[in-house]
Amino acid sequence: MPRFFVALCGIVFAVTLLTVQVALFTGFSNSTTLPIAESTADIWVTAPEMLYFEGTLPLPYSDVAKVRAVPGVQRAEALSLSVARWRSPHDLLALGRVIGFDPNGTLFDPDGADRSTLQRLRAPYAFAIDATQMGILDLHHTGQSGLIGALPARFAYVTHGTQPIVSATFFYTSLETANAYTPSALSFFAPPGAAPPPLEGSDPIMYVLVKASDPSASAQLAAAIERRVPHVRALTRDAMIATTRDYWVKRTGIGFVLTLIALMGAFVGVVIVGQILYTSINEHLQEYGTLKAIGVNDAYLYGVIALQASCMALIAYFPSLALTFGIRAISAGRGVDILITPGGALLVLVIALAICIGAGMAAMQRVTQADPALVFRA
Amino acid sequence: MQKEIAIAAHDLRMTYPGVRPVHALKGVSLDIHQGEMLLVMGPSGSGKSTLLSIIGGLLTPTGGSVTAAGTELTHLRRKELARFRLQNFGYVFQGFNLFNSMTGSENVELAFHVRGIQGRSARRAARDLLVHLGLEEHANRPARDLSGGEKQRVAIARALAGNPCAILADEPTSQLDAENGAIVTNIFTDLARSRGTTVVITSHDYRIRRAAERVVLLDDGRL
Repeated sequence: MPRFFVALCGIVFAVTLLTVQVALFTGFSNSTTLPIAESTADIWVTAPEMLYFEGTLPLPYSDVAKVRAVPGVQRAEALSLSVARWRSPHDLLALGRVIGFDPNGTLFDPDGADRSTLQRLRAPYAFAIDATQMGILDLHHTGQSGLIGALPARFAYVTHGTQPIVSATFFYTSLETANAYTPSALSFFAPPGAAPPPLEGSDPIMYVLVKASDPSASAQLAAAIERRVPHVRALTRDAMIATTRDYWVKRTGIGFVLTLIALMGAFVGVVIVGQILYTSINEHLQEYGTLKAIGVNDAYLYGVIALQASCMALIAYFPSLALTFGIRAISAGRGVDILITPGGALLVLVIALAICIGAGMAAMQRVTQADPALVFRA
Repeated sequence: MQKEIAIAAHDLRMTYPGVRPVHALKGVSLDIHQGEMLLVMGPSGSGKSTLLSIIGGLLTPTGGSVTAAGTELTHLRRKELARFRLQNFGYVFQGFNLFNSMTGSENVELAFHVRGIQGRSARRAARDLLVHLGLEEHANRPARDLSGGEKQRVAIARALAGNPCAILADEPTSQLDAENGAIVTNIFTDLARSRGTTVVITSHDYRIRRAAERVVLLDDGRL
């Protein structure tokens, strides 16, 4: 029993390692698309050069009206994105991103805030940030102020779970305030204390968010927008998520590293489980030899080993999942998203079973090559 | 009347390869009759276990042939040999080779399972064998908790599971006390006389020597 317990601990360790790494990868992958998930838009209209959410070129604000005029568009709102240079009350410097949206609108709402909370961003130079970013920006409570560029910035409310781990701090604010913070905007030179002016047609925005009259026909509407509005690219929500996720996962070092770590987790799992099963089979070689001597065929023995390996994988799986939830709880609020989705949990179960059965089959070679006559050597 | 030949070994040779090859058998010929209880004796290293392994279809000789139940074993492929063993032979080992975490009954049931007999039928058949060998009270105890004599009787029950034409036993009483050694010897005698099962035993036990129909002496790989 103690030997079985030790073996089980080894497998729990291997499966936990795998689960955490799959959860980290899922969390990372999910995190990269958080701003898109915060929107209820069916279509995202942007520059044709767009690579991912933050990697795109500006459109003129006048494009919002053009998009709104396309038949089938129920609602269109602007979303802007620019670089922010933050200076805290204690002169701590940080880089961030200003995301401007319409707090009176319905298509973008960080953290699903209610109307009254969103209205706080109507105040000039008010912003919201994710709770995980407060320490980075040297902010301790709402109401504190700092500077973005040369203009004032007041901490209006806190969001939760809205900050991608790959991005600099997102400052959520109104379109007008975001436009004022944009270094190229004329309003950058606005006199101190003045409210930022409304956007003009030539002011830069990054996205036009679109609600379709018929969401099921989003793809057709996206194609219609591209035909009717020159020099834009229109992506459905799913396409926007896939484009951004693929960029981070497939085209960046961090995606490669996390993929590599997940694969290494699986490899380490194979080695650990393989070693455990190999040792276990070696210890029971006489018993397997007895079965072979009796005349049991290899298929039966493979079945026994596969059953044993599957049982071990299943027994180890649930403690591993519990441990991963524990690690997730410990890491919560530290900007690391260990995300365990039902799909991810199922994937880990399948991989754990594959690892255990695969390792068992490899260890089985020891049995198939064993001489059945060994049973007569006491 | 002359009994039918159950196992015929002809000019068996076995050489274990190595830096210094070991010639374990050097031309052994032997006919074993149906229902005969044959004892193979000989000093350690004389080739007894090798001979038992070869005539039991566990080891392929480097020379010679073995015919059992009308089948030439040396011509069979590994899979065919395994099937032949399953259908024709039962084995009893010096160290019992039971699955210690299983009960006595489960050990015997396993022998039925691998022959395709499952569930209640396997349980009933296993119980019948254990009752026949006087183990009804110990059937549900884990094998690890049984005495040496009980373990060996469970092992014999397991060997009998497929109703084999021959039982091959390697030093079956060497780890048993006198009383249990006598019980096991009587079981083998009864198997040969009443059921007509061919029993081939390697042993130094004088009780088996007295009970055996024929004793052959193996020395340095030769009879």
